[in-house]
Amino acid sequence: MNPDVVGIVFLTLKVASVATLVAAAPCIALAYWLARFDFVGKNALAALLGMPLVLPPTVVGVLLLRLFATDGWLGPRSLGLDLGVVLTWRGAAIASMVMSVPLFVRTARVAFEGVDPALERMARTLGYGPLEAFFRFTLPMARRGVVAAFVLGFTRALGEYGATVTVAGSIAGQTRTLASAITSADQGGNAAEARVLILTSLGLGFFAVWAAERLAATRNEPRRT
Amino acid sequence: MTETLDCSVSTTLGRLVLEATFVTSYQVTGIFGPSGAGKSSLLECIIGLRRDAQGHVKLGGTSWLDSERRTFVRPELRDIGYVPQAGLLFPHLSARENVAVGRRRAIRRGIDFDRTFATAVDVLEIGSLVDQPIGVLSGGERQRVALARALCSGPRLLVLDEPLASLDVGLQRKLLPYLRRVREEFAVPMLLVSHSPLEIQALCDHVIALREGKIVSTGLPADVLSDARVLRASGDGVRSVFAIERVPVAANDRGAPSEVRTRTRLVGSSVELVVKGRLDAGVTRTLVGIAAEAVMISTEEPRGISAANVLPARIASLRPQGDHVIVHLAIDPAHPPLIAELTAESSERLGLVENRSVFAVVKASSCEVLGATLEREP
Repeated sequence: MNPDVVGIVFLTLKVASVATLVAAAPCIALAYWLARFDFVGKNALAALLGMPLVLPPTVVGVLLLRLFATDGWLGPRSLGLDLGVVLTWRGAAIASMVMSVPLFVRTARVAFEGVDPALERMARTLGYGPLEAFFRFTLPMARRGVVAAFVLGFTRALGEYGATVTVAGSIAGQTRTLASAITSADQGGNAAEARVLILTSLGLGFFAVWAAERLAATRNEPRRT
Repeated sequence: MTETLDCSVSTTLGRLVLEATFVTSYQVTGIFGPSGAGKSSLLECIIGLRRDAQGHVKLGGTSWLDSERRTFVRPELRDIGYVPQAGLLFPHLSARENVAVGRRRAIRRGIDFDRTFATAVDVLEIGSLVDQPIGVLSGGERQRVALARALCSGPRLLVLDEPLASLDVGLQRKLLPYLRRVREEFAVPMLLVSHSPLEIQALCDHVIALREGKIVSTGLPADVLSDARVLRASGDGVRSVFAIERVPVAANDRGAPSEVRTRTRLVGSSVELVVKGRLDAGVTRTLVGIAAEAVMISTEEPRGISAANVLPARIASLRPQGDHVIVHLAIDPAHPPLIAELTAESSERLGLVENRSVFAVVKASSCEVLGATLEREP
């Protein structure tokens, strides 16, 4: 296989994995919080979290760019140090993370809403504290949806283009992920490379969804109603 | 000895204010009342599922709630075995794994989990169910597994919230004897919420009747359940419940065992009762229910009468209830009274007064066997 393609696939997986793994814990916590508790501004928060789903990805990209630009709120001038986000793979990870968070939170929230809170209280009466009840009972009961959230988040990050390119560019060997590589190959008239990259994307996407189905299907007994 | 539960709680439930103060040292205390009376909320205050509860809850020397001293023990530290109406088994675990959820606490409390588990499996007859996934169990089976889970979790107090209410009437009667056996096999104090007079009578030593968030009556089941204030709140008629045992058939006894009636006697007593139907083979003890309106009273011993049961009795109490009278008939000192409901007119005509000796007349077909077994022959 073309070493460039291997490099691109590796970088894409790295960017998407880092984005999903970093986002996972806060997203799960946020999803659970939104599913279980009522608080002032809950709808506003949910709407804000959903923004990347409805905005053009380039808007998200430009906003992130402003945020991390030299004189942005998280830029070198305000922080006194350079986080190394703009035009790096870290920027690509941040951009794709922001784009995948809404899907992750939404899917996980629905999964937690499907768990009867009375079952959590039951676990409490059997001697498990709130955190233990969450990890031993709530999370396993919601696992299908949480795995789906992981997969949706990961695949969203895998295919992210607009925001990523805006923040990280498409520098060969540094920030060129599958999505941007396909665009450059296609626009550069390199039809053969574009074809390989497209097939690779198809394979990756299919594998991710298939693996998730496998994971979620284990130990799920039929339920009589 | 049963630990004393000392409870005085108040909380607001929408438009209803729950205020309940009681102390009980009985093994099984019933909380009786119509739906919406605040029964389940009272349990939640005791279990620790209501943070807003005011007042105090103590079991033995342990304080679980004392709002004046700002004590609130979290539910996971109260050591309570809880069985709610809908069982609430964990759907991602098998029946055995569900029961094992409480294992950690049982071990912490120094209880031999495996032995308790074996006893619970035996008493509740769930041996063939424990390795099934929860999804394939029927409603009654799930409730038995939920009971086993609570029993095996090393509880200091068992709290049963309408454990049979989600089941149909036939199944309720089948499960009742299991609860009776739990009461006999496990020496754990129990709180039982129910709106069924039958369950209360079959299981409880002491009853607290709740209505619109307030305690309206407390005492022995037979007394509380024939109390006018309580009766008005309950849709069901008054009924007496007795534990009975099969009378062994002597070898030279004439006639084959009948299909339509069975000779029994009150457990540990010489008072015999002929009941409707046939007891399943091997059943030695069970429960029988007799509706108050099916009991007749005669001031002289009736002769030439078709009713199978003519029981010498003493009138323990007479309570007017509108144009009816509720009569408690003592038939055996070790058992609750037989309750009869007469019109005030009949009572007057017979000249019934307390302590008078009379005869209670009950047809075998009015003596309905409730459920399967309390005890089987080994």
